[in-house]
Amino acid sequence: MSFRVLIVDDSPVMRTFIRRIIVPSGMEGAEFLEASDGAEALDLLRAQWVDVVLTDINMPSMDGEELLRRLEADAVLKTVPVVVVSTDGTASRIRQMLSLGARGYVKKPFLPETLREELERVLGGAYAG
Amino acid sequence: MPDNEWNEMLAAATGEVLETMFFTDLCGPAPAGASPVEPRVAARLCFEGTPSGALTLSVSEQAVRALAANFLGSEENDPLPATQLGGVVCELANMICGSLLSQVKTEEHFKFAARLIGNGDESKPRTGAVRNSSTLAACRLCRREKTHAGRGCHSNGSCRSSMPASPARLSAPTPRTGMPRPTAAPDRRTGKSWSLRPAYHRCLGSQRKTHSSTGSRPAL
Repeated sequence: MSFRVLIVDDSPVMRTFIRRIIVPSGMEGAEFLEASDGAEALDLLRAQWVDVVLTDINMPSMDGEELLRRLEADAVLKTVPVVVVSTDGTASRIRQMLSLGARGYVKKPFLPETLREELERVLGGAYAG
Repeated sequence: MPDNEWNEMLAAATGEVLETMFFTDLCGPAPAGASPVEPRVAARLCFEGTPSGALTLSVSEQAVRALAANFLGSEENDPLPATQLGGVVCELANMICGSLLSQVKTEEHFKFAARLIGNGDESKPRTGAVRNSSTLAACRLCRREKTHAGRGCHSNGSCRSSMPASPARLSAPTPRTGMPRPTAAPDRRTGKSWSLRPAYHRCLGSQRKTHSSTGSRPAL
């Protein structure tokens, strides 16, 4: 089953890394959109549907925290599951992002399988594997 | 927290990042006074919180290409643009720093900002530098235990910290073929292997720490 992933990260090499590990890890149906910050991500989300958002926290212009707040404030976009992918693994940060509506949190560095498992968990029945 | 604890944490963080995301292994500490061979790609990541400070990472271009090939899934000999090489070093510094600070017990959130700083001249040991051709990376941490007004770096990217700590670790990147390999081994296709040997020295250069060259794993 195909699904669409929006990768939000200001690092192009990190976006490339995430893209290249998702498909070989068994999720062949993935289509990818990319944004370099929260503002760009919001524009994309308002223009087209995505099944899951993978977002960094520290980004210029609009960070991941503000992106989550904006999504939660939007009746339609709040239904899009968001997984935070960040180097910040402090417990307080994880709690904060989950309280803001993130469905999952993957701390960098991570194994490809970890991200795949988190995606499968968040996508649930939408992804048949 | 004493410097040796920071060193151990930095070593653990560096090893975790290299092994998990760059499919590269650790081999042992650098010889005293060693710095990465030129040309180099260097990045400084300033972090703000408690503590605040900066982490500087300087990697030889040869090693960056090997790391980038592993990270991006490209062939090692592919001509990657300089922006991608710089991006890889920034991301590596970002993850090492994030992994390091995740071990700090604090309820405070950290802010990060990474930037390229040219060829890493600022990472050169201030005195008595001995070039060693096998040294491929150097990592350096400056920190302040207390939060002060302002950031961990000056606007020109130089370190604002007055309480330096020396990081430490040794690593050996693994060339890749196709999908990432989680364990270190020489590339059977090219027969090449790499040894990253970060040099550890104090931020302000007044005192340099040295480590024995025996690591938990041999250099490849």
